[in-house]
Amino acid sequence: MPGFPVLTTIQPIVGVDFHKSIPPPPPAGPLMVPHVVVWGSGLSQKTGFMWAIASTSRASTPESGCTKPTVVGFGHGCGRTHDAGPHPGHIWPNALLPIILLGSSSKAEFGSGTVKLAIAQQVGGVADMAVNVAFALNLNLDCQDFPIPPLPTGLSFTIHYSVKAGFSLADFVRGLIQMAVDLALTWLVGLACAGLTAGISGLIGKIMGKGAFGALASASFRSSFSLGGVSSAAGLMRDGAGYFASNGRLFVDGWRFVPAALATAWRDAPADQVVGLVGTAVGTFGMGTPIGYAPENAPVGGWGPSTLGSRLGSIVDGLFR
Amino acid sequence: MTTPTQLSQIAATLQFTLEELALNRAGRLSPQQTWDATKSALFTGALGLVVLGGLLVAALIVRPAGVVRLILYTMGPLSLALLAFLSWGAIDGAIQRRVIAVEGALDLRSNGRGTEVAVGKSHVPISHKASSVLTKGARYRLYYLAGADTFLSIEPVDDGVPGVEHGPTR
Repeated sequence: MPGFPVLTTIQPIVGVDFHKSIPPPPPAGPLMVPHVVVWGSGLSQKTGFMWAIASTSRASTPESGCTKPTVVGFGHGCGRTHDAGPHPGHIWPNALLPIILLGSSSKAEFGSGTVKLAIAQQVGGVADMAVNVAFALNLNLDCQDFPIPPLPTGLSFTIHYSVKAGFSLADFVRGLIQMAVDLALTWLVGLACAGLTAGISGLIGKIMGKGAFGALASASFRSSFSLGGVSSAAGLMRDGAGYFASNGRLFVDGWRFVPAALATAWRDAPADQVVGLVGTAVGTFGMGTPIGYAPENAPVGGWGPSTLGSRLGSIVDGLFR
Repeated sequence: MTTPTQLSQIAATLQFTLEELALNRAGRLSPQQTWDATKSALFTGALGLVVLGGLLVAALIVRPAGVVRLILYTMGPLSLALLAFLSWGAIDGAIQRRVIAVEGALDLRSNGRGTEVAVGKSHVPISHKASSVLTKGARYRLYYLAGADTFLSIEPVDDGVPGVEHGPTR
């Protein structure tokens, strides 16, 4: 069985996540825009950022509530399914960043089936040691906005090569299945929230006399599947990269435009976009997703014993024991 | 040696009653456990139907093109298969109401999302508070719902100790 470097809390994460952004304000926006991600594997837990300790951390650190921490080099080891989120590491001039932050995630899905480490009692007490699946780096499952499912776009670079853990083909397959399960559960919560948003938007529009319920709900549901902005954003990134490299004005100008964009959005945003924010809150706090923060008993992504995420976790784990 | 007080503490922490434990020993569910199983089956089934409806609307009315269509046709079946699998287990558990009892050394560990209890080859999700009342490596008898694989109750196994009865195991 080959040894793979273990995942530690000091590993830097860089990546690209797609999220909706204001600017541009309605009617053109919000558009799906690639956000540069820069964060650390154990930074949220170390700093006690938001609710990072409560549901996402599998870091073997005192800050995470682990009474027997495992030191690995200059950091601590992490258990399989350790999540670096919630984190504020999305870098883009976007007024929606506080909402994105609520559901932000960067989850390490691969672990050794034979090496264990102690973690906080509230998340199991003992976990399989997480490893860097691509040896020199790990592919973390990162958050994206619906309709894009979470994708392994978070590159977490291996810092300390001296400690390795056994990693078999079965462990690799288990990580892939865990990733597919987390990805599908998160996406279906997004779909359910898109439906909910459409229903509420149709109802509000109908009450306000803006049209028939079906037409308004359908338009709202249709807009949930819009990837408007991805291609233009790609162009922007191409031009923007050069622009940024030459004079560094892109982000500064973007941030300067945020107040005006927010004012325009406040005036002109259609009902479904406002209700969409409610959908995001329902997704994160009501149903919960298996990536990022979720309350303990959120029925889909919570970490309590009766949630779908926890049941699926046990099933996937049991396949390889 | 387990005292009735310790057993009561386990029950209170893990949210089952001693009456439910007695019923589980006899291979039966309490009305509350039956309702919990039904609720879980209804929720999973309803969520499956909502997702199926959403996918049909998306495929037939929204008719996305390009990358979004690719996402829809990849993620849709995967999500549905996952929910169908979970629904099948939950509905099977709610209909059959079969209690499984397993006995052996106890282990508590992370299942990737929450905490799970493992006794022998059986393992089911359990409250994270279990670590405060259960002892790793000690012998326990675990009762869980077949199909749904949900935790019902648990008791320490120490033969001949007053206050701990032993029911039939399957």
